[in-house]
Amino acid sequence: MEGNLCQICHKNVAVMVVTEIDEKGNKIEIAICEECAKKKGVLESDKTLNLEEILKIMVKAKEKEDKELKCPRCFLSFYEFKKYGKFGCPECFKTFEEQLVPFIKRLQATIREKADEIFHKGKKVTIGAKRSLLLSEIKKLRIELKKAIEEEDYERAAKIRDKLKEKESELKKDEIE
Amino acid sequence: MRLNKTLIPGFLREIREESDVCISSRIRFARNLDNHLFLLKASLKEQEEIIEEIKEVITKLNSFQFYSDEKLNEIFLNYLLERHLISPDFILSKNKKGVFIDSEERISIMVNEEDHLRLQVLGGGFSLDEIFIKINDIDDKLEKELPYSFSEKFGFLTACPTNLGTGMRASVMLHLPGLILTNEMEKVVKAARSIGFLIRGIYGEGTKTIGSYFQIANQFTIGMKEEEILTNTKNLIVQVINYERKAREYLLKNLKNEIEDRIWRAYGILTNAKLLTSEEAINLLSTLRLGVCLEIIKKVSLLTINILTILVKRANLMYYLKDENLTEEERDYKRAVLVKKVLKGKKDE
Repeated sequence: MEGNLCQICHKNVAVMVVTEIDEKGNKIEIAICEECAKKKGVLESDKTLNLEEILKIMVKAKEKEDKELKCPRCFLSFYEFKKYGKFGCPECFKTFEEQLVPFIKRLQATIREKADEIFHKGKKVTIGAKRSLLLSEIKKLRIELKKAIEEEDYERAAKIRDKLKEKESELKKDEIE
Repeated sequence: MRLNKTLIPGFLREIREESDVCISSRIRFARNLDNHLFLLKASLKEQEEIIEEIKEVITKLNSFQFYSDEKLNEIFLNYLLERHLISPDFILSKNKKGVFIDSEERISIMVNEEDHLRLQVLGGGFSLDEIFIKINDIDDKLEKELPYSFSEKFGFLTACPTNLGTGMRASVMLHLPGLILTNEMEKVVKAARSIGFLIRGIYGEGTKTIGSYFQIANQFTIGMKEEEILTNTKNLIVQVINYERKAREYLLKNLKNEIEDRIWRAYGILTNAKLLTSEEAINLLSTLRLGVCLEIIKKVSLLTINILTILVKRANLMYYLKDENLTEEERDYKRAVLVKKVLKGKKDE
């Protein structure tokens, strides 16, 4: 949602506030433009033009939208991100990707001209987090397996071996991809 | 009295060609682990797990000393801060935290400051190229063992969007008394800001300036290669160093008596005062440093000034004197005694 645009068509500037009933039957106030008001059959005289009121509603709606946009992994909302200025986990970057681009532009590209300069150009990881985690799990399982065999606990060893196979095939799959 | 140079971190012992203006260089990388929540959301238990995972890898790599939460009391934390090995935010953080420091005190790795990992390498004088190679090497080694959080678009994922991309901050500590005395500092600050650099206090972001010491660091971290950040920083620093040297030349040419008077007065107070606060000592040593660089003061070396500038700080003084219970007044007295003894003694090294 941008600035003070109509909350129905998102194209024209909102000029009035009308009360509506939402899906849940709650009364909500929305700011709309003249055109949409006409379509809805709302007369201008219903509510007078009040810029302050319109903006207040806009801000509230934006806040609601930001609060509803939540990271599925750490449950940080975009609203909280803006409040603290910090991300909660790696997944936040996927959740907020669309919103982030203009945000990073404002923050990091104030003196730069080209829009693509807000994306990463520096060094890259060689292994990647997924493989790195798999590798360390495999390493740990191998040590456990050795220990189980030494202790002649063959039942445990078989279980570990299954797990090890599973992880190793996951790793192979990742390498092919 | 001679002071052993091992009293201060390795990077402050190196005196190089640009050491008349550039005290030290620093590069840090911010990194996070993909298998954990960032610190805003990680529970204390998860924070402990992060420390353990990182510890397992780092202890294998190099000979680092690890200081965990239990060892980090208020005085020790300030001792490390005064030596530029940790950040003010690390002290303030309520997270479960720890720091790895190498024996030479040139590398420090903070765990659970704002990000899971903050690697930093420090170097003496203007040594950004050298320390860049070093930090890159450590980073490459860690990346092979730790699941770094990374995205093609946003680079290394960091808790704060101001560090996204490279996660890299390159900074140098400059001594700029000439620019202060000629009222040119504001111009430099403005110019640096306009091309994306920050000028900050002696302990970085949000800290105050003291003794004409300033840190200059890149502001932007994404959309550029690490090498570009490095080159841009170096280009700016070379200019600021030249600007400072010109200011000093100007002072010597046009205000010789005033400058000499200022320097000898600083020397006079440092060698005669009965009580010295830490701030006063740092400020006077800063003026003395200028005197040494301008060859007005010949019997004191830059190394001595570097050592004293660290030792006069509150926590470092107490560590040096091996007494953590000194009152403020006792410290001011002992500080004055130490400074006097060292400056009146022979040239060291």
